[in-house]
Amino acid sequence: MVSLVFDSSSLIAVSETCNIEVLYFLKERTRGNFLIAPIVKDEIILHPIKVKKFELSAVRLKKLLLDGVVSVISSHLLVKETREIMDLANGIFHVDGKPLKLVHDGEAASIAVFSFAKADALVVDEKTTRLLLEAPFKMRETLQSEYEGKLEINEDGLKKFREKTKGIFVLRSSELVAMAAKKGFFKNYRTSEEEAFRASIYALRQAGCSLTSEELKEYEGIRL
Amino acid sequence: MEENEKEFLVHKIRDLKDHFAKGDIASLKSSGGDFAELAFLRQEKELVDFSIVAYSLAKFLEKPYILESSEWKDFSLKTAHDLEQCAIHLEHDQLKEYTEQLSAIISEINKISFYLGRFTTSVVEKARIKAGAQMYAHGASLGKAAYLSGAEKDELAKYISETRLPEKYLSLSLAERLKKAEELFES
Repeated sequence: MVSLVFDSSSLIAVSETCNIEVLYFLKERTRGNFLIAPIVKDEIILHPIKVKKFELSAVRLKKLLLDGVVSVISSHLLVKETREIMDLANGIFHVDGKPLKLVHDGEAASIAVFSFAKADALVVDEKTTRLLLEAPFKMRETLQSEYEGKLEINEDGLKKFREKTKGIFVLRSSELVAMAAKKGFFKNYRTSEEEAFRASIYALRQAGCSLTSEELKEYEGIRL
Repeated sequence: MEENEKEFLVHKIRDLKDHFAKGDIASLKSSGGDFAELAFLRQEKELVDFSIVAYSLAKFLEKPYILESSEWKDFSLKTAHDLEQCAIHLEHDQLKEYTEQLSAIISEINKISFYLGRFTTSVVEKARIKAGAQMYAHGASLGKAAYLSGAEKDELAKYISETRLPEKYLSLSLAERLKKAEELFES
């Protein structure tokens, strides 16, 4: 059984690109446990459902919850854990002596849920969370070019953050679609199976899944 | 706000006013970016409003049909005056008046955009997205950038995807990530 935690960026991307059935498909095939933090539910449903432009996407995601494909995990322990993770993440980098507060509640809460639920992967499409978890020194490189020598790193804070988030494996919505594709999700497209897969990946990128051009080319090379 | 921070901000507001008075679109856009970056550094949503003002004014200056409208002269004179008032209120620590003045400027921009604009998305909403993208480029997560800028996450994500920003953020190789994913989904 696969246990995945989603942040809002990945769910918004699958919903906006009509790839939401991928989650139903994977849930059924893997008997997976797909989880979100309460604040992520607010971000993907409660807020956008009031904005006409995003209502359809929010309604799709609301159905996802109603159908039990994704569940909200809630605990008073999560509030404390989220705060700790946010304080750590937002204390790693400093500019002109002030902390650079990179992440917001939803991202920190998703990391907290991962640890709480002892999940297998965190599904996040946006880049800051992913870089902090996988390659904080890469994050430093990109920030140094933006802040021209004013950036400082709190090594102790980084060490504590890395200890707290050790073992978190990050997936993006594109990798989920790839896994579904390998299991036959696009078979209904018959001779256009691979075309449908490639188009879905491209659409996810357009919807905000942080993929480089090189990665897009690699995805195009995947044979199902 | 510390004294040096206040002085810096007053100076930036007056620069914005001057760029607008000169019709300097490039400097206005640059100002918009600077205010967005400052908003992120200081975690102050109010500073995003100046970014919105800068980007919006730059947008208006690009549209001949707006500049040729009967409303433009009064709007441009009032906006320049109101920006100066913002600077004065801030200098004298009149924070309530400063905030109200800034809100009034945004309100006028929204009105001009609504009455004269040719798009359903207001120039203020587009400016929020630009401000959010600037913050994202400076390290903010999507959630943080959306929160501070007031832009909708979906729209911000789409806008960012059309830039070259994602090219900078490779961490694990795709082959490695897919290999681990396969192990996970096959287990």
